[in-house]
Amino acid sequence: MKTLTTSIVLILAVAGMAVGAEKETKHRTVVTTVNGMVCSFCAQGIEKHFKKDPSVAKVYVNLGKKAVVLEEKSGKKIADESIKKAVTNAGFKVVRIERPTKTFDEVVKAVKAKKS
Amino acid sequence: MKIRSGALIGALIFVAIQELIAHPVAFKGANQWRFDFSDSMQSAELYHSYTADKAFGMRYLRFDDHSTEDSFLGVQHNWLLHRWNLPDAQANLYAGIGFGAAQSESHDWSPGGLSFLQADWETRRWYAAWNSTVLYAQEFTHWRNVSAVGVAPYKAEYDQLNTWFLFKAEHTTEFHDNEIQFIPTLRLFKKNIFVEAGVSFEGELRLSFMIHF
Repeated sequence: MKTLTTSIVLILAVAGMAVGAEKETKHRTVVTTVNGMVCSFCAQGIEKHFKKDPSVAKVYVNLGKKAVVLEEKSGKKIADESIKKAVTNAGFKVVRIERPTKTFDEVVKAVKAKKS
Repeated sequence: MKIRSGALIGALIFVAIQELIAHPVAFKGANQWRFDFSDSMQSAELYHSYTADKAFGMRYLRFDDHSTEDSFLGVQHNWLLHRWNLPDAQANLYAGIGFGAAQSESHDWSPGGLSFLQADWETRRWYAAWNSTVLYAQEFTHWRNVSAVGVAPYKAEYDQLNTWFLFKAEHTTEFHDNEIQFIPTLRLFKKNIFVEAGVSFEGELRLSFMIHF
């Protein structure tokens, strides 16, 4: 009986960890609003930097919405300060950084659909 | 139609040595190559932006209008003096100096230098730029001003081809009979490739190419 109880507790613990991990992977999108980003030739530095960042899986830049959308790699997090530094080194100004509870693809779709 | 430069210089709102007026400083870590070709002027610039507001590199410049033939080869440092990052626009003020060797006609190469000041303002629809450069050497001094205004027929997104229609005005002392050159120009860029093609009112073809990586 004791063995059965221990097994159930272990199974529930493992299941709980799996649910927690899945929940964590859903909150890995970062949206940065950037001022001055009016020219795609000049904004190449932003994409180039984040594509090399070991914490970033995907990058999407939208000039019309002044948005840089990032997807963090599983288990990794990019700090706000790192984002600010990268955008500043690219020659632009960060207005705000948001971490919505939506997937990268959902955010990109919403940004594209959003009216200027 | 011959237009005396002295009468029009004061009337020009935007007066700008580069045929191609583009940002002389790119993002931190960027390498930038720029080339301008026309029958009367050739220029090559290779810069490395070691910070977001400073770039260092080399420059070659040659004027040849069949009566003047002057060349400069040297190192150059560019500064982004100030940038205004606005919600829907960006404006910049740049300066630069260069030192090297210059040659006029068949004279020997001798020490020479250049300095420039540049301002630009752009939205996704409108563009204006001004560049004033002085090129000085033992045998010659050229003061060159180039201005450009432009409009984009559509607001291109980040991954699309950007198209711009520009109108440029150029004046260089002791060059092209001291006359102002007017050049309608088509500018195209996508990703990190930038090209321009224009034809002056006198029928001279101007080509420019730039890449950064």
